[in-house]
Amino acid sequence: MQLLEVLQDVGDAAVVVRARGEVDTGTIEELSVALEAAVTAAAAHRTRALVIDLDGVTYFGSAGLNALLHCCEKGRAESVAVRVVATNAEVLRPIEVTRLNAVLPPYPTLAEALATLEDPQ
Amino acid sequence: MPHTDRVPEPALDELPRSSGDLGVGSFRFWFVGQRWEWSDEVARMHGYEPGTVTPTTELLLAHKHPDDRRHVQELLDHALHSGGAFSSRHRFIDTQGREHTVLVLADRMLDASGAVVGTEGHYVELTDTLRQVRRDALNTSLPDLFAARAEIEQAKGALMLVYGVGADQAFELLQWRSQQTNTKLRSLAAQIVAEFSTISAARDELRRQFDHLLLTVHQRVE
Repeated sequence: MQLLEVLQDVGDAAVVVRARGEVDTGTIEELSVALEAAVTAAAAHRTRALVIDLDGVTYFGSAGLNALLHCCEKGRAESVAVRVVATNAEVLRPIEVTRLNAVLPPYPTLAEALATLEDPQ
Repeated sequence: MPHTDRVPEPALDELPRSSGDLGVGSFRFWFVGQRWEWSDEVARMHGYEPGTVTPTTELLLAHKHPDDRRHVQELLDHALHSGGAFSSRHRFIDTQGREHTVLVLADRMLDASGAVVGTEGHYVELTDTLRQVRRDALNTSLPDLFAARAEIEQAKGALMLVYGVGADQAFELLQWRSQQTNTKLRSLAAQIVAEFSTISAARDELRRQFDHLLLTVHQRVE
């Protein structure tokens, strides 16, 4: 079984990246490469929006936090709005205790993440 | 040909550098940027002369035990998921290819706003050959410890249960705190025993398991 699966989906409202499995130092390269490509895809997308769906993530550590932060910075540099979807404690807790949620607040559903994009900030 | 099961003596280069060397070092790990800081002792444990190397994720990956999938950083990521101090065993391979087992004692590092920025703590070397040499050194240099044996043994018993370590390692933990804080080991042990009752962590599961052990242990005595 694969430890981590990352899929990119180019929708009407945004480029959506879905990660499923374990995000750790062994799999982080895969996620980083996928996020890098997704920012590039989003920069070419009409909406300039990227949603990272981490609901299927079963392990999330500091490697994952750094990848998110890096993606957020790259998004900012390329004028791409980055949103995160997560409801699982495994992902939410690290984001909350490190106060990364001040920069990247997690949304409970894809719809809610997309809703924030319709109102450009 | 004669056959012996004698354990080889530790090689000279494995001896501690001084009798005060208990194989305890400290570290810091910042989550953002995954930046490390090692004390000289932790650098030596990994086989480097202090100041000659910058610990990075890549460097630590090179020291990962081949049978362990997860990295030491994942162990420290524990601080992202639950509050408070934690301890765990960890093994790594030094630059000479030797395996080390350490007890990692760590706590969260917070910034002024209360955000968790990383982990800081200590590596306590538990590697057998080094431990044996150090214990011998302690036994000969600190004979007066045995006068206070009861309190020290009681404190050791508590550490053994709580940290899941052996008697020698428990003793080293006491010895380390004693040296770090410049407190007499027997005084430290006595105070630990006196403060047992102040530990209020959930004991239900521990007590349940211990009840079982206590009530059935006679069946296993040979």
